[in-house]
Amino acid sequence: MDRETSGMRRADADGACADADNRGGYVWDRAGRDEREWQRPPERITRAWMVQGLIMAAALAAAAVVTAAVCQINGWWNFWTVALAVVLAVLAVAALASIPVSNRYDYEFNQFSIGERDVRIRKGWLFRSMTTVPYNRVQHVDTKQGPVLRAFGLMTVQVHTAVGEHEIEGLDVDQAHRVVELIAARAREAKEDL
Amino acid sequence: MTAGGAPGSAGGTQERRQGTAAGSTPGAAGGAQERGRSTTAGGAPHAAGGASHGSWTRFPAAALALWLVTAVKGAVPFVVAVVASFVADRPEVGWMVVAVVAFMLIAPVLRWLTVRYRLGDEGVALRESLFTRRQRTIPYGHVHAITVEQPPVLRLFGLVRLVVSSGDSSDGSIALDAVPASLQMAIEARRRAAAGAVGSLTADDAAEPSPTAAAAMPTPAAAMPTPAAAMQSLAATATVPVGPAADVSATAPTGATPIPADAAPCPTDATPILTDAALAESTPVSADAAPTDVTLAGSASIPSIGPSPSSATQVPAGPAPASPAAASSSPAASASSAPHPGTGTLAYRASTRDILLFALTDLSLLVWALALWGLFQKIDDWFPDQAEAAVSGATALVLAHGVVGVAVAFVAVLVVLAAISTVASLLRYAGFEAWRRGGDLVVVRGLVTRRTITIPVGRIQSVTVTRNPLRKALRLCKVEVGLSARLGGDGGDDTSTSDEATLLPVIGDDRVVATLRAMLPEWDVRPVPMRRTGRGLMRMYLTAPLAMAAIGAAAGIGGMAAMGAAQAGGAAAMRGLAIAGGVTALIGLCWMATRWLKYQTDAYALLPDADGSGGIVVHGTDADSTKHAADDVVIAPLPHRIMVTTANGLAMCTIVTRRARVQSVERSTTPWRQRAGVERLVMPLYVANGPSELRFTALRHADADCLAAWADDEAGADSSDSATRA
Repeated sequence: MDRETSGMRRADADGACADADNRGGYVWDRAGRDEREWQRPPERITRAWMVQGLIMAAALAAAAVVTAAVCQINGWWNFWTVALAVVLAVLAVAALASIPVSNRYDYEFNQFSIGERDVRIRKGWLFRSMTTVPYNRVQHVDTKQGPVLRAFGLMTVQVHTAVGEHEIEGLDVDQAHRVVELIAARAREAKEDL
Repeated sequence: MTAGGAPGSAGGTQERRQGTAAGSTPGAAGGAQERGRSTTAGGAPHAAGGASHGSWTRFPAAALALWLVTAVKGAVPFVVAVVASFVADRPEVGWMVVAVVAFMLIAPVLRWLTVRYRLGDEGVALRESLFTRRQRTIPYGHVHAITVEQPPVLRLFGLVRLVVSSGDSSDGSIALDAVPASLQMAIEARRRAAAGAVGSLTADDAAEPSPTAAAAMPTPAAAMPTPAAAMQSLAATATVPVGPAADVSATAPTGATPIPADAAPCPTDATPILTDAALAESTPVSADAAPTDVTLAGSASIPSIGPSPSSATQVPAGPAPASPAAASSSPAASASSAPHPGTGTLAYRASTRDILLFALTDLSLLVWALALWGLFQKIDDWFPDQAEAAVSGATALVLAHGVVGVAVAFVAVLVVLAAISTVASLLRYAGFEAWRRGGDLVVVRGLVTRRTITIPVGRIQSVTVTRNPLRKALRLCKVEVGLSARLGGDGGDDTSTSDEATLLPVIGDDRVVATLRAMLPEWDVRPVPMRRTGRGLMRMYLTAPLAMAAIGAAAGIGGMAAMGAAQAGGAAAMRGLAIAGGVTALIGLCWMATRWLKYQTDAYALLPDADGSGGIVVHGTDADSTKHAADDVVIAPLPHRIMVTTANGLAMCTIVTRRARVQSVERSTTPWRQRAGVERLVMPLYVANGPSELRFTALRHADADCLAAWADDEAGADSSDSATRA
């Protein structure tokens, strides 16, 4: 009886481990109140992003133009085709407009930290995300390099878990290899510990 | 273990491929392949299946017949299509059809000639050697589930279809289409021996402390301090149908449930059913050594065909204890020939009433309704002449009778659907029984095809209790377990994977806790105080769907208003706008309903671990503690469990899973959400047949910190981690 109620109380305490007076969420602070070492990719990644953004905007604009041309030639204009073309055009403009903003602020927030027990990846400025992958859940680590990143001598590291993958984008090639080595080694250690 | 040392390797399934160029004909049944069948240390316990086990065995001839029939069945649509499209004015087409069908029939024959299976020393193996030699071995220690089913055709020959699932995500199961029924027992025995030899069942990759400690669980006799107490325990278990316990062991269709229907049912009772199992586990002679086995296994005779409400009612509804004599009156039951769970403890049996309730509260009725509606629409295309006239005539008739006619038609459709659903459910779930046998959970179900699914409890990765709106109103729920392997393979007459891992198809809210405790004491599923994460954050939940619905509604109304005023060309465009807006608004409203439910239900609780001092005491309520004092057995619940309630569509579900399943923690926010101290948190889960993630749409930073710390192992058993963090 006693043990059970204490169990219940413990559950209660656990559930309420977030006190009302502790606001929490310090992981989101840009300064990083946790004593972790945060790294970030080299600054030229912003140029790679810019190129990627331009390509994206150009592709959307091209799609809008092609839609308009096809509809014009065949006389397919109706509500839905107009809507499609307009949406594509708006997206293209938005992609173009967001390039400087996202470059400036995204880079600010784009960081990763290879800790003792886990990898943490922060991304995004407007839509911020922070992913924590414990080493003992890492299945394998690999690298990826698209044409744009290759032109800038950058490389992306992918950390795979059993159900998905997480990217550390645009590291120096050397840095990327070091990061892969480090994560792989720590993952190995973590698995051996278990 | 043999020198092969298979259980040590990481993968669940081992595969070997080699070309047949070396002239290893199928007939030369793998002498070279055999890794010397040295005697095992574990000692293959009961060679139940006779001499054939241990060597490569060809499937019985009935398997060939089965495959041929399947091939013919598969060929029928093709033949029909060809004959229908090239009408028979061209004879060469007929010959082509014959050739193709003949080719289709050759494949099963070749397969039958070349495929062998074996219960080796280290595992179950299947070898295909038609062109490429491909051998798969599932070590006994890696068996995640065994599914046995017996369609009527196979029953004639005393054969079963047996699927052994391993933890592999890709192709991790071996399906033995038609093998002697005794094979199941042989595999089970070897699996248990392997588990015993290793010491625990799970060499799980996640490497939580062995959760299947069932085998290593303290037997009641050992756990009891005094012999007298032990005796009392046995007595208490033997006379099990006392009060709520009868409820657990047999679901009396009379429905005289002694527990008051309460919104939050308190765990009233739980017979230490595991103790029987543990006894059976530790003493292989079980049947006579432990009278407890006889009682429960006897009082519930195992039906080999169809539902048996009669046997469910055998258990006295009142508190009259089942005398040992009555129990031993049906000892033959446990020795029936059909695949059966053997000695064990019946934890739950669905009565016909339960199955009917399941069928009638199944919301996939609506899906059926849509399908029927689609069919109705299609009738015009298929039968252009008289049928259309008949249908439109009927429709006109209905419309002529006005509202009453429409209502009658609606009710008629509903009745038809309910009938269909009932038949489908009876086929799947008739005679549903769940047994606890040692470290295994055994589920038996099916009307025509009896299906037996054996799941080692340690392989269970999550427990989900779901209530759709209809069942919620009726205080019913459904319980499913998530595994790390897919069950059943590809065959069978019902291939819908959704019901594969159903533990309790439908059960009253007031009984689910006690039943689950009897089945899975390790998981210790029961109501606990939950931390509701959405409290006060309704705005965060509803803003986005509300905006979507509002924009859609505005566009729709604007379009409608402008439609009348605009010219001919513009009117069409405005009509399009109105439709798009209406659809958007509808989707937004549905989204809003889901979000509203999530806002109401999103909550979590980090369940208490068994710290070194002991564990959760499974015992009766305090009121009758004197009676049940001896039943107290310390069963350590699995460590690091989390309970989450959330809404999935319109259904509410409660998920219990373990930290080892959480693959990462993904937190996300936006500047304006962050200003309000709110974020979103998603924890992807690695569970097959179960929930794929734990998602909190909006929660406060402190809660997120708490969850992240829990997932990060950081705090361990400590609960005061956010303090150290802050």
